[in-house]
Amino acid sequence: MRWWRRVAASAAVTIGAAGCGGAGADDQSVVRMLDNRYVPADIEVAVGGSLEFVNDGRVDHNVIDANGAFDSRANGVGDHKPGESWSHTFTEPGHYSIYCSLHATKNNSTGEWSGMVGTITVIDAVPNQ
Amino acid sequence: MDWGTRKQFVDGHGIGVTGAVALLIGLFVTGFGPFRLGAEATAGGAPAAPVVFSSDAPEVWTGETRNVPDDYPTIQSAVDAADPGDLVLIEPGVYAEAVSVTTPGLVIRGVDRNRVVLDGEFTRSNGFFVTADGVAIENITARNYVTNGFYWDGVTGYRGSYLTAIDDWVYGIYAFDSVDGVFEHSYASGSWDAGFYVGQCDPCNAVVTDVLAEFNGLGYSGTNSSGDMYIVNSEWRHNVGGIVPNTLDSELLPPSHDVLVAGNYIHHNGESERAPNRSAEWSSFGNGVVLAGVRDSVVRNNLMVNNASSGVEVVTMIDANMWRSGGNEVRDNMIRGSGRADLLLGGPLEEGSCFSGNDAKTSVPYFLNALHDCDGINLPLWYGLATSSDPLGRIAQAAKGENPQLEHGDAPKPRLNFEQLPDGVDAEVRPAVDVFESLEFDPDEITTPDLPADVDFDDPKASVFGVVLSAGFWPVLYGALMWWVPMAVWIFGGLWAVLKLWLGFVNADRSLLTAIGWTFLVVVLPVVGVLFFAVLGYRGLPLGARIARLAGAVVLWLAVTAGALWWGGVF
Repeated sequence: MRWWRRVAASAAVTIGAAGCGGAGADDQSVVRMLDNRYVPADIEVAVGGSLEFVNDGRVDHNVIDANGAFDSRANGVGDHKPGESWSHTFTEPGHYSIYCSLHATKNNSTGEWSGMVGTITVIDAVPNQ
Repeated sequence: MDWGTRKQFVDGHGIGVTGAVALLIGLFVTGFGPFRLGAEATAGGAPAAPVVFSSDAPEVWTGETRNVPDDYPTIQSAVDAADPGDLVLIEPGVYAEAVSVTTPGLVIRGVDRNRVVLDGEFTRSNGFFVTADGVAIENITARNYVTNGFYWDGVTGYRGSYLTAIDDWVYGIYAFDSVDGVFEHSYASGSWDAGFYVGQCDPCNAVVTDVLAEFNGLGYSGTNSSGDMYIVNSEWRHNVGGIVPNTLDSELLPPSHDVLVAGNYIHHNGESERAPNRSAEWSSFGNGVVLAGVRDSVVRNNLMVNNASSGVEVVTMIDANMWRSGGNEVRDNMIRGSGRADLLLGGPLEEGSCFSGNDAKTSVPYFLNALHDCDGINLPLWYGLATSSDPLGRIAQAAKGENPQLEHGDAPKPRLNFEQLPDGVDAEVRPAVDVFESLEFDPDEITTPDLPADVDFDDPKASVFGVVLSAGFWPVLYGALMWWVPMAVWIFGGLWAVLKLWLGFVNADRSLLTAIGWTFLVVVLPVVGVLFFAVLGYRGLPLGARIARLAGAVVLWLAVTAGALWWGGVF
């Protein structure tokens, strides 16, 4: 990623964390994919809002919903290399548990993922005003 | 364990602007005094309290053994069936698996290190992926994984003993966001990033000892791994770079600090044709040890031979932020056959790293042992881009695709005749609990390895003022802009200034005291003294014209340097 995009992404995250805590409809917040964590790991977004996942790490990452609602690798995109990003718009309210298939693993007894994981809460109203 | 006075730093030590801008600011201001950017360190504070880790793992073996494949057909099925504190014992065979371990306190042991082989077949991500506390993995080989061979993530307590990692593409043996662990008696090769990696922990309370890493991008990498972090008594050879503790914005918990690198044999690093690498690894090319943006760490009693660039390089790390190195001690190392110089120290804005007692012959900047002495004079190094120009040039090489690339699996292969776990299947079964406190090694007893009798030392490479002429276009270009130009200002500008001063004295235009004073400043303050004289001491032009010309020259130089960095893809 070019340095100015990193700065922009960092600024967006900082502003988001300080001011909104999530994205409203028609807004787009940034989730940074560091090695090997999503930052922030937990985020709210309003229905109709979108998130941009930016790989600010040094190795590949991806974003997959544990229940199969979305997979950033779909349509031949594959894993996201450092500097690449992927956006998704959330049209249905609910909780989404996300993981990176390269840096998270599943407990075969509980079905829970651990490692590089996060949660996205999609709500009807603009979050945390 | 404690190996001396610990210096802890506050969070957010980085500069609050981008690394690129900070670098350019640093280029300009560093010659003008002790200008500081960013939060200051809280060095010399009270010693840290003992760290108490909380683990979910049982401290002792349950007595239960899960045999693979006699009781369970696969390693994963045995691991899934195991209760906390069980032993999973694996018979020889090739296991085409990626094993997820989420049960705490397991001991996973191969009967024969060289014949119990997990194979990723260049398609599976991680050989072992552990997210449970206290898991020990022993006496096993993992090869051909597209991400990592052995990987602990977010755990308290881990141990990797007698492991072999071959061609695991990112990291061979890896602990991330984990504390209280050890990697020992293990081998790693063929990883483009690092054979051994400990990342994002503070305090790590971790030890890497008696390991061998070869044909990797880096032998060891430790990004943002701090506090009782030891890399000791091991061999690092034929990697692009040897041991590289570093600070980066790509992980949490920067900066890296309080690392000890001691008792290692580090040789023949600077591999370009047989070790995979990408960008940051290439910037460490040929250095035995690199402290990149690292604070308050110690490199001592290492034997460093025939590394293509240097034995030890201490340098500022430029990422999204600029992370200054500082407070590091490089002591009592023996260094021979370095291609560029045995010791390298680089700014900008280096904060007091020092060198003492090293058996070394060459350094950049010159007279490092004398001018940056841990036990005597330690001058600040506000500028010092002679060293930094080389890794910046190599980042440009990587950005332009000029660094040699290997495909996954193309690195040389070792013979599978590695040392076995002592006592084999009868060895004591110990979950990885209180690992750090239970280790029986005293860092104070670490000594320098003996020099092998059959080693011939390499000749140094041809260089001009520390810039290696064979390094390639970008390192030479950046060396020219960032070091030769300032050196030329110092040398030729200094000669011009001295000539003007003493002609003025002969012609009775200047007093003897004035001539001596300016001469002292011009000689002792590299570059800056000349610039001061050109504005304040030279009388050949009006003051406004002098200021305008000097400002114009500095702005031109900064613009050309920034343009060259941009052209090279550095930012």
